[in-house]
Amino acid sequence: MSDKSMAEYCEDLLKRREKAQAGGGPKAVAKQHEKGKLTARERIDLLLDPGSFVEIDEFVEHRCENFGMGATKFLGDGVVTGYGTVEGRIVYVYSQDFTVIGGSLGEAHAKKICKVMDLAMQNGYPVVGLNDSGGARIQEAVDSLSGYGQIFYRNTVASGVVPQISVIVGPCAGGAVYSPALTDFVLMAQGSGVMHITGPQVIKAVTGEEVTSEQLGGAMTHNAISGNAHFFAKDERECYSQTRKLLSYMPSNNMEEVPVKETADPVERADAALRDIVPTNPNKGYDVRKVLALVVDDGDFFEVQPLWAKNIVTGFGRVGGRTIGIIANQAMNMAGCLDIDASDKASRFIRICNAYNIPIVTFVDVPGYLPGTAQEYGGIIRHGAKMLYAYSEATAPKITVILRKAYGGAYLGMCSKDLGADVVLAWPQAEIAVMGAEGAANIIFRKEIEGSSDPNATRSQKIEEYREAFANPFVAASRGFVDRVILPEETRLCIWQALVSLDGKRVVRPKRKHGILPH
Amino acid sequence: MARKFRVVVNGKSYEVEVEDLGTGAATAAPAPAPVAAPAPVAAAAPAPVAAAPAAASAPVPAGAEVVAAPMPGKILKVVTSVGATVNNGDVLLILEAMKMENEIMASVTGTVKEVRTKEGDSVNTGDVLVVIG
Repeated sequence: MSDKSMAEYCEDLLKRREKAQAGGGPKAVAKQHEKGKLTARERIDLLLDPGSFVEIDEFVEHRCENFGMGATKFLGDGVVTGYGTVEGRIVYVYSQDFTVIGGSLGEAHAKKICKVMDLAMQNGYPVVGLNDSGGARIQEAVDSLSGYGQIFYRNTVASGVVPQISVIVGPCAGGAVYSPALTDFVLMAQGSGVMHITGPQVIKAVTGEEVTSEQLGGAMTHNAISGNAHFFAKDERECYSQTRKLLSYMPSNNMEEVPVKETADPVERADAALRDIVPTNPNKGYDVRKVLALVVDDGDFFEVQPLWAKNIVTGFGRVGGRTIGIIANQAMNMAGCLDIDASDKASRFIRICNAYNIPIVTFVDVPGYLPGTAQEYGGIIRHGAKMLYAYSEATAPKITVILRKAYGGAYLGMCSKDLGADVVLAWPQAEIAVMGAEGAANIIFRKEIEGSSDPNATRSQKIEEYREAFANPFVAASRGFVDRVILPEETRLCIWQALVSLDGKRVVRPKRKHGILPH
Repeated sequence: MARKFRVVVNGKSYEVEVEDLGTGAATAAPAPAPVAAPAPVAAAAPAPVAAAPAAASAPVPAGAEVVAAPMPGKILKVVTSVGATVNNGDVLLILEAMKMENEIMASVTGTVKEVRTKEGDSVNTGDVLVVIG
């Protein structure tokens, strides 16, 4: 029999809890705040619905005795883990605590992360990781390395099963960067989030190149140049609101129905303004996001990777409350052509949508693939192939809207009927052809043009003839490659009708371990 | 060198600048006087230097923002001029490429310091078109 009273036991527990809550202590917390950064727990509070966080493993400690580490123990071991809700839906979360041994990752720290990942996968809920860590805990040597390996393994196994989101609000360097890279979405806060394989000092020592940490791996770098990140936030608070919004579009796992958000915006809304955005002159650019805003519910289009490979637009929206994933050529950026980065960006997004059964809606206005040695040497063949692969592989509902130009291989690549589009809609000025009228006429009628007494007049006449004959949606519609030719203002309703008709879509493919995605 | 070339291919709009740096100071510095360039460089190097328009490869003053050609094409129209005040997003010139008239816009707010191209010029990816200070 114990001589302690219940009150004493409870008091002891409360003391321990308080200690765990304190993280690295007031000094370390003040230092974190001085850097303009929030603590691990403050971050969780901003991410989750108020009061919803349930912490697990708050009493975990490391068991390393090397190099005096036995005296440096903190409850929780530098990472806060658990679950809570975002708009009432459960989300597992881990938040690295830089105030505790620099948020470094050792055996116990990694085990805590792995536990929430396992629970998330078992129970079918998303995982959000808030990354702010100095890296591997060197004193723990190979145990620390093993920790990273265990996380990478789980990131991969969970990929396409439950949404995985990485928020970078502190350093994330060396091997640590590969966990975010294996997840579905990476969000970065300017000024605090930094990712790189080797830091500025190593680069200077090895290559002599001088670069600041922010230039090398800051939020803008990865959002605009490398394409490693998907969302740029001016501060970390914005990161958490972006994460919440992103989660609102995603089902909790690959077996769950896509979430529906009620809207007062009627699906029958026919916006006449859609007639005035896309110029009928195929040489003129415009912002395709204006089209998207008029089509989706409440004008709310949530762009993914808005700063990288801007010649293609990817993002989420809703029609009739249902999430759709949108891929659209951006005519005002690099003519909306397809190139290596655009193919990488779009194919990855298509695969994310398909993994979670989010209907894929493609808006086509594409002049072709970007020519040039840089593209060919860079492997546009294999990168471009990813688009064909991702679209063909996708069994989620596929709806294609041809706004204007759809030429050649790029037409096929933008989810044509032949790649398995369920419903292909075309606007009346759509041109579906091997190439533009000008190029085609110059080839087909070369002899007539050369032999003419007035080659320029003959050329214009032949271009016009070709345009009349082929540069329209009706040739494709006569073969059934286009299901419906629609008025621009009918787009929203037609997408809705297609979505409803595709509710029960089931596709059976031959059994295999996995396909070989061209890389 | 080979390693640096690969970085160039991946970093889209920055590729030519990165390549120039990678080739070493020897090729970057003599741009204003191309005749002097061949001496320290290997035999193969002069060709690409000659191919690029001299103006486009001239050094850019520190702190200035460069607007480079996003893809190969022909300059259809120069909208801006030296000394003009421009806002982020203002159209500077029209580049005809992929049979489209592409509006090339300012990426920062500032004053146009240099216009390194004229109507009718053919440009390559990464060529400096406008310098904004």
